[in-house]
Amino acid sequence: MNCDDFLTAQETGGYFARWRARRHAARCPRCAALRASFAAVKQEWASTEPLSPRARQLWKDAAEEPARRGSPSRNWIVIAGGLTAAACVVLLVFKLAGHKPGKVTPSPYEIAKVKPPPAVTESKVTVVNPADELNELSDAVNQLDADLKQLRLKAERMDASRQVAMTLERYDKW
Amino acid sequence: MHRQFMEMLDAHGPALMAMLRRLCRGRHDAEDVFQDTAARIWRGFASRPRLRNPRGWVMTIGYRAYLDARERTRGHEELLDPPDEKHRPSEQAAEHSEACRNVNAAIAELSDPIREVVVCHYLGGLTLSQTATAMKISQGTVKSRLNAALSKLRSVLE
Repeated sequence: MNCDDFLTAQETGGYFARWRARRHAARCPRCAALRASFAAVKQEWASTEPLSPRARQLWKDAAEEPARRGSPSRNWIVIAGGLTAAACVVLLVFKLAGHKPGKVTPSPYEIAKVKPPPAVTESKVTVVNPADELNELSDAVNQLDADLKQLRLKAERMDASRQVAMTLERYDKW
Repeated sequence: MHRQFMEMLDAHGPALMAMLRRLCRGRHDAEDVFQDTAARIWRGFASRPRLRNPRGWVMTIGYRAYLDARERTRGHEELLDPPDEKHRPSEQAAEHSEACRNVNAAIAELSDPIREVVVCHYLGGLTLSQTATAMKISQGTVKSRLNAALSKLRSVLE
């Protein structure tokens, strides 16, 4: 190590540079003296004179002001705002990327190569009153019966008119 | 909390005042900044982080208060106190040795950026990384400024 680099190596150098500086000082009396005098100066810097009463009073006066507590609500708002913004960004990215689903994870049945149980479907159960249902059925039957009677009458009339027409046609031949 | 605040004064107040005197170059300016620092510390005292190095916290606040005070008075330098001849740092009671006086005089002649690094690191007790954080510069810049100061101090010490 160069004597010119000794002080900077000792004060601002890394671990290895400081080690080299110590080793250099052990062999170089000039740098050893420099090291000792700088250590003495640093020691004097560290020994400060006591504070004046005026300075103590200035410090005390500062404590007269009501202390401010940390504002947790403000912190909470900042955190909540940050989380909301992050969620919006994630949603926006998904939206812009078109949300392509990744590889579908196989179900346990597919892995075990076992037939899965039938899917459970939901069906709506309607509760009916049997008396009402019977009444509706009997009404429908009665309606059908009436329709049939009308159809039978119509058919009979048509049959009669055909017979009359055939008879008239026979007499016309004579 | 008030008791802890006063304990902080006992533990770090003298070093803070010594640092501010060297930064401000005058006792009255240093007292103003000291008062501002005390107010800032008190305001943030209840919500202060869990401190591993309370001195670093105090000194960083002190340095920031000094920077703000310097910024406020930058436009009207004539309002600044003249250099305090009576309370020159080199003539403080705690500093007796000739070497120390010479070193302090050499530090006083350094340019502001270099002087501030030396004062924060050696008198404020801030580590290199804390000095870099307080001054908002890189640790490499802190080292290069310290190296520039040390090469000058070396000539004084030898």
